[in-house]
Amino acid sequence: MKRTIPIVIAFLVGMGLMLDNFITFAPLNTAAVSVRSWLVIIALFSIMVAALNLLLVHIPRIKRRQGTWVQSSVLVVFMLLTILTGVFMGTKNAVYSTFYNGILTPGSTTVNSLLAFFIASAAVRTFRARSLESSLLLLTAILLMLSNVTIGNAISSVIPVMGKWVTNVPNATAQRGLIITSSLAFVTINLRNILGLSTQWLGGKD
Amino acid sequence: MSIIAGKIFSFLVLILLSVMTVVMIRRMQKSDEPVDIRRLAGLDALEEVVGRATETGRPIHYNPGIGSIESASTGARVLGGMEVLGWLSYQCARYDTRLISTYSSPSSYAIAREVVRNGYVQAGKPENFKEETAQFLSNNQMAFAMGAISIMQRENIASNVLIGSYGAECLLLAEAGNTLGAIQISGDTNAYQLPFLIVTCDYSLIAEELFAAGAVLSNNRDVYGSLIAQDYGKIIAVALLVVGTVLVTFGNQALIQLLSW
Repeated sequence: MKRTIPIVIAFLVGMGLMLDNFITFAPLNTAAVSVRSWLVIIALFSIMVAALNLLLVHIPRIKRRQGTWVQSSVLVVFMLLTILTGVFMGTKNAVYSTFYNGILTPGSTTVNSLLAFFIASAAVRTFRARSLESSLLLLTAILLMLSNVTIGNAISSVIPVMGKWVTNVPNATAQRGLIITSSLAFVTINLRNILGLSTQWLGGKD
Repeated sequence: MSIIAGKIFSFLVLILLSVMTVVMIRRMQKSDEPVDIRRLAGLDALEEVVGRATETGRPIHYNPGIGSIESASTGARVLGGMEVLGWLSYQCARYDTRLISTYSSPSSYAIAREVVRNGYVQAGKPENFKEETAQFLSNNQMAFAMGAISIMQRENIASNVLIGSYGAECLLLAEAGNTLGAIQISGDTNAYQLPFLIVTCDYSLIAEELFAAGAVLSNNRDVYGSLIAQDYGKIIAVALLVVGTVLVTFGNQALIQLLSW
């Protein structure tokens, strides 16, 4: 029963939401709207489970003064402060906004900017002419880089045209192939879950 | 009750694919003939991932990216990754290899936690499952990436498995794994992130291979049936592409009208 009931619920909800995309039938469409709202509510509950995991991982570490317990303390203190200010003073409060705009946003932007260096290091490692395939990749990369900067056009007006062709013809063709096969796979993996063939997500046994 | 105009053809295709899937599953259930499935280098390497981590005594890191399981666009990819995670957690439990899985989406975490715990239960070692085995980090993309990278470096991981739904964080995670010299396996269907994963990881499951991975690892004949149905779907898609190209070349719009029916 522990597994059968969730499988039956998944089947009914999955089929209902799938049919809602194609059929105009008032009771089904109304039910689908409600189910989608429940989905948001259930997802919000999972935030509590996730927050609990953070505490269960970091509080024992702080208690035992183990490893990175100082960083864990900072995390737990700021997590609780953010929750408390948000709940009791509102999300428009100056303290709450400072946590978000003064700490989280600059931190995220800094990490995001690191991507430029990571792309460079990955490119240096990859673009080596070790085989025919990697040589082709290297040549294509050079062509595309040149076609996207003004110096490419200054060298030859053919370079931007070739760059555009590579993007719009071979690249677009390969991407559409990926999209078509992925979409078919999307349908089958969802069917596997709706029909109860893949039940990894259910956890334990009956 | 009526079918929405413009969606009739896609509805019929969906019904056809569903019927084919059910028929193939039934056929596989009745037959005993062996199934020949193309070997995927990325899947074969999963055993190497567990092997290397076990031999070196270092942990395996698994991460499904920032995609959430309840989203229509990322949910299927995260579920595909979870099928691999189930197998991975079972193997880690069997060989007493440490598994650290990190999550950005709370809903993905909640389900993944059960998947991992189930792997440990199936291997008969539920006591080895710790809170650190499945860790939620942050639902902010970059905070999550930094958290995962610091765990990877601190724990000196032997293997890094990145199968799921990724955004810009995939390059940060894969480059960090590369710097550590970890064996890396990735998988996604996002054409914008796949190039980053391919150049930084040792093996990549590209697009539909991600969804086939779980089926192959499960070694379940019913699930193989769904893969065969998927291949028939591909044959139909290619046939429609060829016929459509020929018809449009000669100025015939019949197939376009049928598709938009």
